[in-house]
Amino acid sequence: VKSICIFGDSHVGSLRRAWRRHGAHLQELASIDFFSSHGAYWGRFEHSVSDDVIRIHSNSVKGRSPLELDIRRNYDLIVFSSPLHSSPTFRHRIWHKYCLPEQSEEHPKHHVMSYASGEAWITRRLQSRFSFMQDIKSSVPQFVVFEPPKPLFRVPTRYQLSRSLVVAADELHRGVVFKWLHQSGIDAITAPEFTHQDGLTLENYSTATEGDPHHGSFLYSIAMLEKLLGVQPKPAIAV
Amino acid sequence: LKKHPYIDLPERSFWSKAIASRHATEIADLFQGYSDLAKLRVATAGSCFAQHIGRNLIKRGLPYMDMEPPPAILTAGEADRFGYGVYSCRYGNIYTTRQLRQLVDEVFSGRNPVDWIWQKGNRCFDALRPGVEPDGFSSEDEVRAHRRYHLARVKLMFETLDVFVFTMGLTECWTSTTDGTAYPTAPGVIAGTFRPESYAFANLRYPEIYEDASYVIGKIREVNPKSRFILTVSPVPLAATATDNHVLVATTYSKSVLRAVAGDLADDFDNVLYFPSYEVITGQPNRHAFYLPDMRNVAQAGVDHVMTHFFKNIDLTGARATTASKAENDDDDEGGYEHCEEALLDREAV
Repeated sequence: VKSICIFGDSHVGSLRRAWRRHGAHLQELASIDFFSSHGAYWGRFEHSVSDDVIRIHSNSVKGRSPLELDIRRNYDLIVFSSPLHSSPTFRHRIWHKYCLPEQSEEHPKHHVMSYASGEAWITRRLQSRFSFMQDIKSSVPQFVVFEPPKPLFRVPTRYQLSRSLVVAADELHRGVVFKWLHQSGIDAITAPEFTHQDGLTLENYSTATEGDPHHGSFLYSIAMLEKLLGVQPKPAIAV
Repeated sequence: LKKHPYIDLPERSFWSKAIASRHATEIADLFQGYSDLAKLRVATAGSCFAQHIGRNLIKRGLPYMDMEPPPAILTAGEADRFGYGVYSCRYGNIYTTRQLRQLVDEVFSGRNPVDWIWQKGNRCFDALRPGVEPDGFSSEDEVRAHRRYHLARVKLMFETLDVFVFTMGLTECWTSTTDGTAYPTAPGVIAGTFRPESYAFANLRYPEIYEDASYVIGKIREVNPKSRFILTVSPVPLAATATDNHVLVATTYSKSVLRAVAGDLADDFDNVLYFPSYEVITGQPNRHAFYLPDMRNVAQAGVDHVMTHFFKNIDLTGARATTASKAENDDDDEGGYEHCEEALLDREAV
């Protein structure tokens, strides 16, 4: 049985719930420890690597106690969820005034921002996570990154943004991260093709909680856990 | 009857009274300016030195036109790197009147340059403003989309500005042998490939520069009859010359021609002023003390000194000086020449 640690932002919470409620068929394949926390902790944080553990400290969420997390280095596989969470990018108010070049004809009143400008912004925000991942990769047997769902189908309506702009902003964010992961030799467990269409997560794979703009459904989480454990995930026929 | 024609002239007309008997910092009456400038929408363009005029307008709380504002997601340093806030539009340095004329024609007459997207590796550059995206664009389509947007903003700027401040910088430029398009940099410096059959060197002469500038003034006034102009000449010497002359001789030629054209335009057109930033920096009173050790770049103290003359007669009542502007917070030891593509010629040579 493989020992796995999945840690990071709130998407880990979705995975944990799915694992407990719907993951019986997977539990004989692996033992998984989940550490979920508010995504904002991962914007600014400190870490250190000792002989036994990776120690993480973050005090970046106002009104909440600091995050103190020790992760054993001897898990067979460590999975990090956070850098591919693109919601802070595609939900940013900047998209009410600016668009990317491909959306410029659809948004004639918007200013046009270059992809390079957007990439500079995203890279800066992710810098501490990039350094962190470099350190982890060289400190543990196997390290991969978890990809949360593409923007949920309800996001454009909810944030009064065009579908194309949401998708473009999301792709910009994920593109920066995937490029960096590729250059760093770090794999990602990517969202299965059948969970999304035209850049947005399908309703079946989006959480049913109406006010939630970014978490996946149990189906999404199970599909991702199956992919992680080498089980061929299959599209859901019905919810 | 007057004893001679100089008898009633003011102090400013006499070297002994206006210069020799004064400390350099007390020289006055160099520029009258538009006293109502604080109420006017001012746009800037031109050679490197023009960057300071925009920055100082912002610093003093004047209604400076920023038609392509930086996305708020960028830090001040990032915005600067991407050429935001340097001029009223993101056209980069417009060193020659030929470049300015082309821009006006692109905006108002549908000029369509042939060879304007250059490559460097797998990145694409707008050859007419290669410095504004230092890493280039991801594709030719992206270059085109940005240029469409840029031209729309430039058009709006020309249609709505009250005062256009333009700093003339160079007479030398590289042009396309296909359609004569003048570029701000030689092909191969930032991007593109230099091919002698595709590109030719040009050193614009007085009649061409006067014609280009007159054309621009006329074209802008067709769409914006009340527009006023302030012309300046950059005191920054050439980084390199492609003529056979020594760079010092080439600099003197270029600056002399530009200075003569600017002066004549101010004399020949209504509401066109010449602002003598060139004289303030290069003139004898300051003994070239405002130049940095390379004798090319101007120290911040020199820029500040120039700007005191620019604003001296302007009623700044009601203007709200910004205390935390990007310009003010910048370490500007080099006087702002970080956006000078021409300087790259020198760097290449080292």
